[in-house]
Amino acid sequence: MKIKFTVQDPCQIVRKSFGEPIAEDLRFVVKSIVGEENFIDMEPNRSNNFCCGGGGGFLQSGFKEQRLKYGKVKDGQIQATGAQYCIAACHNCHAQIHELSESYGGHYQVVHLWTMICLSLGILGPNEREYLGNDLKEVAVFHPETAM
Amino acid sequence: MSRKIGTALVVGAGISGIRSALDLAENGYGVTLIDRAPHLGGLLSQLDYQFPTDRCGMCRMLPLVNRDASSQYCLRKGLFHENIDILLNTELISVDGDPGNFEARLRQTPNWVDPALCIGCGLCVDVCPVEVPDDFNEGLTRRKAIYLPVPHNIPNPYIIDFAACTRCGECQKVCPTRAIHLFDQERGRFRILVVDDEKIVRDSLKALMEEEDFRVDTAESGAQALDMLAATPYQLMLTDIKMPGMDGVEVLQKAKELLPDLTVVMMTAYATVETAVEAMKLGALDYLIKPFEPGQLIPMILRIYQGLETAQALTLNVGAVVLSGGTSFYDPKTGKDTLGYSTYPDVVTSLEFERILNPMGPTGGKLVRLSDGRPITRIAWMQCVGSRDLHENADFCSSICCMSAIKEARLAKAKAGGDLDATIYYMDMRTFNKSFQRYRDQAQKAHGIHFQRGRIHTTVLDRKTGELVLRYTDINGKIHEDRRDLLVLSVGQRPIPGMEKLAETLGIDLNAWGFAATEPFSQTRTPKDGIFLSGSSSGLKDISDSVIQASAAALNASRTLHAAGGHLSPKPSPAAEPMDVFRQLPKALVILCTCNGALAQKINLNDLAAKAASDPSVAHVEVLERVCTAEGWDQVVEQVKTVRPNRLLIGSCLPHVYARKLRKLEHETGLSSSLMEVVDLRTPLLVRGDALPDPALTSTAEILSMGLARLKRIEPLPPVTVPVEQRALVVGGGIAGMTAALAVADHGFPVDLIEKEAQVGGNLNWLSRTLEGYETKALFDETLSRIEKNPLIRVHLKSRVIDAFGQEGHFVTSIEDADGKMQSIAHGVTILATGGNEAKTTAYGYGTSPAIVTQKELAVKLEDKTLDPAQLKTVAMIQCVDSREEPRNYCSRICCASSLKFALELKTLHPDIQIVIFYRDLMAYGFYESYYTQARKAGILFIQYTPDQKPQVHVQDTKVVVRALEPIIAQDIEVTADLLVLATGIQPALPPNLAKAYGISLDPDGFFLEADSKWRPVDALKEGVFACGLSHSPRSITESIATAEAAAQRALRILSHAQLTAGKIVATVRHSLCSLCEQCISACPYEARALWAEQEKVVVHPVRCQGCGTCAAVCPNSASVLLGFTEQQMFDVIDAAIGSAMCS
Repeated sequence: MKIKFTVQDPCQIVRKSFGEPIAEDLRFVVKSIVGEENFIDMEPNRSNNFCCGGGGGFLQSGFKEQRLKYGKVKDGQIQATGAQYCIAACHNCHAQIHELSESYGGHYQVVHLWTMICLSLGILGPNEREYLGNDLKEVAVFHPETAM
Repeated sequence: MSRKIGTALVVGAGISGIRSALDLAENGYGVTLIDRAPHLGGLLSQLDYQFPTDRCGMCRMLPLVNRDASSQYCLRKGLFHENIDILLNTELISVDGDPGNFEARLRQTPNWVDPALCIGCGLCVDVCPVEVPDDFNEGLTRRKAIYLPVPHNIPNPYIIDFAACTRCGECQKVCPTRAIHLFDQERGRFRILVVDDEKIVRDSLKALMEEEDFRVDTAESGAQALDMLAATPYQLMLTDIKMPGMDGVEVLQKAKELLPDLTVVMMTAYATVETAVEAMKLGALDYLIKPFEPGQLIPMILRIYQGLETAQALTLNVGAVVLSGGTSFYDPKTGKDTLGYSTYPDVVTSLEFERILNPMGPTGGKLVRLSDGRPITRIAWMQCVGSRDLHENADFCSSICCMSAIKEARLAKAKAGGDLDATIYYMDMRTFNKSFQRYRDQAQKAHGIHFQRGRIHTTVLDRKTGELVLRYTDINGKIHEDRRDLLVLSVGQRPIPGMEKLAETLGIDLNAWGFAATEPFSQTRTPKDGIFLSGSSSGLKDISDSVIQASAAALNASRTLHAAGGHLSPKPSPAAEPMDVFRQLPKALVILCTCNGALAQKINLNDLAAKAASDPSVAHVEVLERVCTAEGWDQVVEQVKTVRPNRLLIGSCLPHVYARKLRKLEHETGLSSSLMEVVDLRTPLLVRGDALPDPALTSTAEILSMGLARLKRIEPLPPVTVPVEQRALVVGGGIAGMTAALAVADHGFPVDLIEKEAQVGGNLNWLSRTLEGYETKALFDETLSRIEKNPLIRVHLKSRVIDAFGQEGHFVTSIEDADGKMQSIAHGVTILATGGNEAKTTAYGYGTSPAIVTQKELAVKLEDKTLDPAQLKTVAMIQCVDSREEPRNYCSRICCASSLKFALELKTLHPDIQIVIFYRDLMAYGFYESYYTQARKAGILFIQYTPDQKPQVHVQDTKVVVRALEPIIAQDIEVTADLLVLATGIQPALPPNLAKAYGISLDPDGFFLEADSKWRPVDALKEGVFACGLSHSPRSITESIATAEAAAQRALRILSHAQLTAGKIVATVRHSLCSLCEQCISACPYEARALWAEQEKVVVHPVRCQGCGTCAAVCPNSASVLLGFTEQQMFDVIDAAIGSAMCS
């Protein structure tokens, strides 16, 4: 389908805790799901990636304007990749980047990692597709009631 | 012959392992040197150049006296010594027993390539289909599954990487010498029987295990299994429990009756685990729960297999064990890698960079970017990657990286022809050895290398230019960007893989970071008596410190061996009477080897034999099969005994392999090995690769006749020996001198210890504690009582050396005591341990106020309670007083540690004291770093100053005000202190006239000048004189003791021999031709020549002469002659080489 994906390196799991090995694992999973040729890394990446701008409790603490401003770097990184999707394996990053996509007009999709895993396995239900774009909304929809 | 006592095991054959092994071997002990790698040299095999010379120099570790016992070529290419057995691909499994009588078990990884047959032709590499990253180049290049572990060994047999090899067998097919035996290996001999009623289980198990090269048979019932067990001896049986007919438990019982040694593993489903446990009580080793996965099964099988193999491991009885396992390095991709190591190819580790500089490396030695091959013009080094990093649990300094980064920068500059921007990003430049600061200054001033204090936090790639954009914060908190082609990460030390297990096996302790822990005041002792640490296993060390520690470890091992009844004098073994062939006409035996038939295929050996036999000096020619094998060699020995030749010429392959055998042959037959020669007939044929008989015969005949030509004209003189006065003289009775004296006396040799003061002890008389908290008084008392109790040590107090003369083996020293009484002492070796003192100063207002003291004064005041710490509110300390700048441009190494010690002591006693330390680079090297961390946590302030902006001190009443620039806030600050402590450093106390008396040199700062600061760190250039302690270099007590032990060890190499034997090839002088121009004297690199003025003769000291031939080359009159390489001989060889008739 020629859809390009990029991946966010959440501070919580990469820079702050497990470092390079988990960043590699994350890429292994993402590439396995979307195909190596459809994956594009943002710059910089892995341990060197930037914070989404919503970390450290910022997402919940108000100051929306400032938070979005901090997120400008992240948005710029994602837009520079030209990817239609950004995969975020952290719900905090997801919420922030989703908001960045809307407010800076990038209009890329921001999806959870589990969404993509389930989609690739063919077990993503019809009501679990809120963050998928129209291009993927109808792909391999899983209906447990009819599948059983 | 039993060598139960008097042999040592050295584990790890890196630099320190080689040093320890050579030291013990030179003392006359038998040594087994093992390494798990397939090559010698450890880390150093990958590094070409070492500072301060920016060259190699490893060969300088080879024996200089009695040198014929050892190999005499490049040590990177290989080593042999008649007392050393080298076992590569070998690991230590266990050590049991007591000091003096350990039983060590070793496991040798089988080698599928027979090193005796492999001729290194490389045909196997061409056909090998497997490619994997090459560890030798740190994974930057790729190699085949059959490969050379290092490119430079002699001989250099190929080996097979078991993990990578697919066992396709292609190499075996092309090998011309049939050296490869892929399938003849013990896994195939390990036979496994699988018993299960389900075919799918049987088949899948068989397939899985066969993939691992095991030989597997299957049986579908208990009855069939028992039949098979009766017919074939299996080693392992895997049996199902639930089977129709006979169940698994019954099979187990009956099988055990048939084969009591059979190992049985039960297979079961969850439901019958209890039965399986029951079965284990009946003798089953273990059980597997079905369904099982390969990931679970195979490791278990391998464990069982290895367990059985271990039972058959090699067992050695040794008296002492030296552990020189080295260290490994931090891998940045295992952590938070913000510097982009695993993301960008142009970010490399220091080891990878060393390989990039090497012509055998990934870029052929060119400085080009790994990413796109463009030339490199800007390189940055980033220090302390994986060191001094609490996040990575690395609260230590790796000690060597500052100096190796400077060296790498200088090498890179030289390689790039100066057109290179090199910057080193650092926290502290730890140039803590005596010559290091000057090396750094030179790098900065003469080579234009930039030093930038700060840490790079992020690397980003500029995709357009391919440049790395490095972001760093300077000390004022400003963020900068720096664009570079290459970023080198100076990665820190980590324990070697398997260190924990090794420590457990040996019963030694590890420190908090997993390195071997040492005992107080020793770098080498462990809690387990008889097991010693050498080199970097107790923390990374540079070459000189490794070599010192290795000799110290050898000394302690030797002490254990000696105490257990092993003696230092070499074993008298029945040697054949030396054959006197002087003035005899040459009568040569020529042996031609068919090289397993391979040589015979290319040339007609009979023609060659006939040609050789036509030479009148040849008594007999014999053609033999495979001289390299044990049987083949026996035939050679037989021939020599029958023919009784006075010259022996062997034509075969790989002459280097024979050096050791020739010495044995000399031992057995009495024919001097200098009258034997091995020439390589095989390799030239391979190189030419044509099968044409005539040219091949000609060249082979030439080679053979060259060998014969050299042999014919050898003057068969017996080797010269020089008697040794087996007594040592130690000058200086501080801790180093006392330690050295004890070390020598403990080996049964008398020692004279000369001390100028009224009591021994030196600086121990005022020191009380070390930074680690060890009490120095206990050390002093114990050492002193051992000195007093030892009848072999004569202590001369209030005495000094007036004059001395002589050389190794025989010195005469005149000493004078307090009453002016003189006496002369004859001794074989001299150890200088004259010590050093705290330097005096007039800087920073010293002398103008009682509140300004030196470190030593502080220690004394604290000890005699003339200073009450409770009265102190603020203490300031200034480091590097008059040090690390001309004229005393060296680091005294211990002052930073001392300041940390005083600061922590004061802070612990009175937590309210404010302590401010003004420093330049804090030299908390190695594991001292953790005390630096502790000090910062305790609230001690560290303020950095630079030599051009030193702190200003003025006295205000009883207080001292220190004014300095605080670089972080970029403002001047003032500290009003009750006490100012000045770290003035150490000055040596080695009088120039003493140095002159013993013929040694001093360095610009008055310290002892080593023969080679890296490779012979305690030897003087003049053999027989050694130095230790503070007169050698500034060191801590523990480090001084190590130098003393090393010096004693080096001295014992000489003392342990009743006489020193010169090499077989030494220079002489034909006095009738000599014009006394003395060119040879200045040319001799070993100071082996001197002018004997009274006799008007140039004389050669035969033991010191190393047979290099430089003197023969410079002599304008052919008066200087190198025996074994005379001019006539060389002309004959040249004639033979250019093909004039063989029978000339």
